[in-house]
Amino acid sequence: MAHPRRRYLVYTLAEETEWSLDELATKLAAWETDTPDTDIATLTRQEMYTPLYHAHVPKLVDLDVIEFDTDTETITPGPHAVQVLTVLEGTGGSIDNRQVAHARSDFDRVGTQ
Amino acid sequence: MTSSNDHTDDGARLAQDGNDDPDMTFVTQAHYDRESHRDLTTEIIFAIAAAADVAPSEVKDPPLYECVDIAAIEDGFFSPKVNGQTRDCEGSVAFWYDQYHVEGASDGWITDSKPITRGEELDFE
Repeated sequence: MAHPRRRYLVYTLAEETEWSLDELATKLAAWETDTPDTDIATLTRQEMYTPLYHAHVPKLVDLDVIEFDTDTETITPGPHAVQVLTVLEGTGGSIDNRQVAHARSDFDRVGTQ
Repeated sequence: MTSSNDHTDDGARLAQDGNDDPDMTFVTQAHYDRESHRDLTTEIIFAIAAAADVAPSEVKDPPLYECVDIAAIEDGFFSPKVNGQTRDCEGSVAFWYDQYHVEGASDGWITDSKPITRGEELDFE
């Protein structure tokens, strides 16, 4: 969990227990570019979707932190999600305060349909 | 009458060394910058998408994670600075993704190639 993007993904699972990969890509892009979720350009979303799909999601699935449905491309917590969240909130939480707040903030999911 | 065994239809010369390695044609190239917000995974997938002339989000099968250990390449070639010094090593790694041969070098250049098939036109689907 050393990678900030993976931590962000796990933080979002504390807010909602199901996310589509597109929604997460948009949300994470909004965090990293400090832009409102509704303003994310297609290219930026793709630039975030790509490493999530090809690297971070498979890694987190391997670690049993999340489950990924390849047909619907939705992410749900895995067996170790609660453990990891507990550790993150205990140690990394103070470092990632703003990241955590953003990950758990209200997200206009309609905008990504 | 000359035999056409050693030339493809468009005149590209096949290797005469008798081994099974296909001749490769360069398809596309991209540069990975460790300071960029685009990580190595993104650059590689975007390069493959450019090679295949599709959107990056259509490059899905397989996830790159299953082809190659990108984290190891990033750590090996592009690791962060230690004591203010950049650790640089030289070399390259190569792997196959679908029909593309992807080579990533320590200078950041990612090169995609694909095998030439006898008679194949060099346009990209």
